[in-house]
Amino acid sequence: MSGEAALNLPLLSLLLWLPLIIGIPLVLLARTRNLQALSAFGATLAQLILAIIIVITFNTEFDPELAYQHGEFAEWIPALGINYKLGVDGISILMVLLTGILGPVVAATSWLTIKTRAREFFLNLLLLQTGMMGVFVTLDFILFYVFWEMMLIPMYLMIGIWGGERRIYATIKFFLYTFAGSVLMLVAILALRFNTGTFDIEAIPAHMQDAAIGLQRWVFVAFLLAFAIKVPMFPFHTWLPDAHVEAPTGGSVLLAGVLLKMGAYGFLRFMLPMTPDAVADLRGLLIVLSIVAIIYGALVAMVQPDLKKLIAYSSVSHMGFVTLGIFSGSQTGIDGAIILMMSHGLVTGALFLAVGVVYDRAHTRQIAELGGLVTRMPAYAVALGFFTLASLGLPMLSSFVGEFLVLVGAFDYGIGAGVTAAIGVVLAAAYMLWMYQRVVLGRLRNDALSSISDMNRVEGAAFAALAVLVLWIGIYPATFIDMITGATAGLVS
Amino acid sequence: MGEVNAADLTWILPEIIVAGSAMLLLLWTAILRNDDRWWSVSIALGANATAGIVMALRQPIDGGALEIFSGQLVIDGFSTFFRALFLVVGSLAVLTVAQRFERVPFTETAATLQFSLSGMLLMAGAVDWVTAFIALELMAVPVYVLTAMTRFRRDSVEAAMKYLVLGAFATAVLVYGIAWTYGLTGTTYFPELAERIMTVGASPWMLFAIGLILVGFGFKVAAVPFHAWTPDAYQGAPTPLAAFISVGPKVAAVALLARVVGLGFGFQGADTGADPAVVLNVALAIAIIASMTMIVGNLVAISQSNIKRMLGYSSIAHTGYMLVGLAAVTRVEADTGFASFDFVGLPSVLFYGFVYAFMNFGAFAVAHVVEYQTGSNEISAFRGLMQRSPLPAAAMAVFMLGLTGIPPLTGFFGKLYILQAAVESDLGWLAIVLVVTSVVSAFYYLRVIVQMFMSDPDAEAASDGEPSAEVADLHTAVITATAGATLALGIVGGGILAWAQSSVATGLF
Repeated sequence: MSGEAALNLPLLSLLLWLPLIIGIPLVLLARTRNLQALSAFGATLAQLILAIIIVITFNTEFDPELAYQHGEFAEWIPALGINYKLGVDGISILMVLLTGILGPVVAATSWLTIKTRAREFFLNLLLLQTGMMGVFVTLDFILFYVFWEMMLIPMYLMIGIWGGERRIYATIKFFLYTFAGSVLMLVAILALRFNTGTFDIEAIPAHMQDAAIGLQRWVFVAFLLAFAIKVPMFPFHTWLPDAHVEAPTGGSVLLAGVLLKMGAYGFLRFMLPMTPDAVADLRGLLIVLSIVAIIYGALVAMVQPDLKKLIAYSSVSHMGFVTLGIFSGSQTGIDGAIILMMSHGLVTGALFLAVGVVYDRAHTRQIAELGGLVTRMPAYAVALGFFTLASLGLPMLSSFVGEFLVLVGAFDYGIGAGVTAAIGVVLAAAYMLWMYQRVVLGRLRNDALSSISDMNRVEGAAFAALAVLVLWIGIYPATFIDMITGATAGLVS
Repeated sequence: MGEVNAADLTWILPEIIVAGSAMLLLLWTAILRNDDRWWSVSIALGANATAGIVMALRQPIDGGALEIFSGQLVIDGFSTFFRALFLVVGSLAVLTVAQRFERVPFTETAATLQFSLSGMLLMAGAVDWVTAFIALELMAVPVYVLTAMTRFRRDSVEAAMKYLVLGAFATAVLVYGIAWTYGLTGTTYFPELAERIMTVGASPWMLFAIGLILVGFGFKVAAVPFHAWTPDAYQGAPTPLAAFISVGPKVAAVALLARVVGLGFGFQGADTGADPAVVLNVALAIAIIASMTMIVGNLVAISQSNIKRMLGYSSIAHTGYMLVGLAAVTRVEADTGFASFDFVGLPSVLFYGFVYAFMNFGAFAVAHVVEYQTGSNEISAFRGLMQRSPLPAAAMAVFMLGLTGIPPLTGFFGKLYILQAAVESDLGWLAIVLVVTSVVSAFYYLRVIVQMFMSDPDAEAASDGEPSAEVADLHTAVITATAGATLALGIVGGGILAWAQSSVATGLF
């Protein structure tokens, strides 16, 4: 048996509700901004520790009986057949870790940057942590939907209250896009329940084996819309640059780090097992859309004058790799997609933090107004350099592992897919290195930057924490791949 | 028909107590010439509480349905469910008008509210056209008066006029339909009606008669295309009373409509005792009305700048959601595709009526607070409310998100339940209309949140006097209670859902 038998604690429930039951009262009671930030940091740190415990006790020996671990079950709304069912498997375990690690990072860095209405900000952050964690650990479809939608609210407020100039436009666009995608998923969930008689995520795939292809197609379309908007897949990506550019740094980090992963997670958790035939029918289209996203995202990123927008479009490109891996149909590709999801969360999260560091000091994100930062911010130049290289897929760093596996999967699918996707890797190197050169290298062109200070210890610690995992995945990916292969083998069989 | 016996009277003690309190309040003002609010509030609330306790204690022993007054009224799970809800809504209304509602004779307002409440209580149990009609009018006429309660305001009187004329028109159409039905079937008693309709069959005249009844109810519940009075009435009516009007009479009319279609037209148990053609035609008509109501209500609400008008159109949309539940009359088997008659949507309508009442009442209550603070009903008056008065702002966010149907708020579960009924009844298209129009609704509900949370109090407004940040104690109580219900009923709402299901199961249908 796995470790949970020995611990015998409802670890997932603790992980899920800790930010709410401990964090929220503390933040509400805390008088000063510092105490509020400290409370939020403490609660998210506790959540991270629990996430690490769950990862350590996760049983990597694949056994179909143990597909979901740390399981919990209770009836919630028996009148509707809705249950409180939790569990993690190889698909969700890394997402739990990712969500866990980004929580304290955002809490700590927001302590530096959020000066107005801090209490509300940290309340939102804690709600968001619970909502995001809930998406990854629930095994009841309605419970999943509750968290999936619930976390829209704190993100909506986060962008809308602490965002930039066009924050209201951006946040309403963000909300309506994702809400529109989600509601059709709700109808699909009800259609599944109608046909299979259950909301149990674990049980539905077996029922769908002999379901009519018509039902699969309808469900597929609804799921595709919901998850493709969230990822976002081309051509549903237009909300992303707006939301990212206007969001406060912490919001951007979580948006790129975790929220985008939810779409990919949805593909893996629901679409592949529940609508396998419909996916097989439309695999070509999904692969083409993924490759278009890779190339288009990279090309658009190349011409962005705004640092944050550049990274936002690079996310579109990287998430294209993720969906390419997911739909490649090979286990290698899916493994790569999950590793890349994790890696992208860490790396892009760090890059958004890095943009925030500069923006807080220089009050600009325009690449043209920056330049030569290395002369004033040497430590920052190293940190940004590290994550720039990670982002473009340098070997020994995390993204390389993910992209490599995805490309292997793509070549399995077809030479053409592999070759075109590989161009995306080259383009990524081009726009990231060019960005780094213009922002960091050279001499200081803008006089306003002459008195800029280097990053402080909190920021340094945040980067260091993320860098540890980036290196770990890059140097010894087996730790993580071992955790996921059991589950991904089940997806392709 | 048999004579009235005294035991029957004890079953309607709740109605008698509430109506009695209304008369006592009127005498109070007439004799003592005293407009002491606290006495009046105590009388009204005391009566409602007593009525609730009496109702809870005096239930049919076997838990089934008990017909009284020779089948004019029934005491069953269905009527108990709605009577409990109406007593709460009526009490909330009394509390909301008790403070910060100036230049209006309070005791008379409370008396009128109590009269209307007694009509609503009767509507919940009516199973005969005669009682149903009297109860409906007993509820409606006081509401016209309430709309005109601020009679020194032109728009209040104008709204009351419109409401009265259109309401009277609707009543006339309804009565005409009832008369036709009686002429065709020879009965006014709902359980007999379903059977007689079967013998008459789905003749054009029968459908004409039923159509007239649906039109009449269409006005009462504010369904498109019979909705035009709603925004005007809500805008003109004093805000705390608009809260009552948008919730009480609407849900009461939906409840009566549910009883009429469920029992009188045989939606419930249609496989045994009703004409399938009539059931399917009426259900289809309701489905079409529901889709139009959702679409028009939500689309027009977008362009409103006045919070009361916006809530007016939004309440029209919510009528549409409830009608979706009433249109779900068949149960389709997933594997065989075989359909049988089963009124699967009925429990979802009960549940939605219940949760809608709290959300919408709360939203109007906050609108009243803001109106008192700023003197304005524009949505822009909500600007910076979070910094000014956090509690009403946070509560309003809960109401707006609840009305949108965002989990874990109770509005989500209401919609979920209705959607599930629609899917089970093979009304997938109606389910899609519901969710798509819900997305549209997010747009206008979110705008209020934008004003409250994301816009700082603007300098221009501050120059002509800082708005007051005051919130009356009773309003704080009402807003906290309704927001708490909107939150908690979602998370631990399984009980209400089970109650709604058992109310239908033990109801006379």
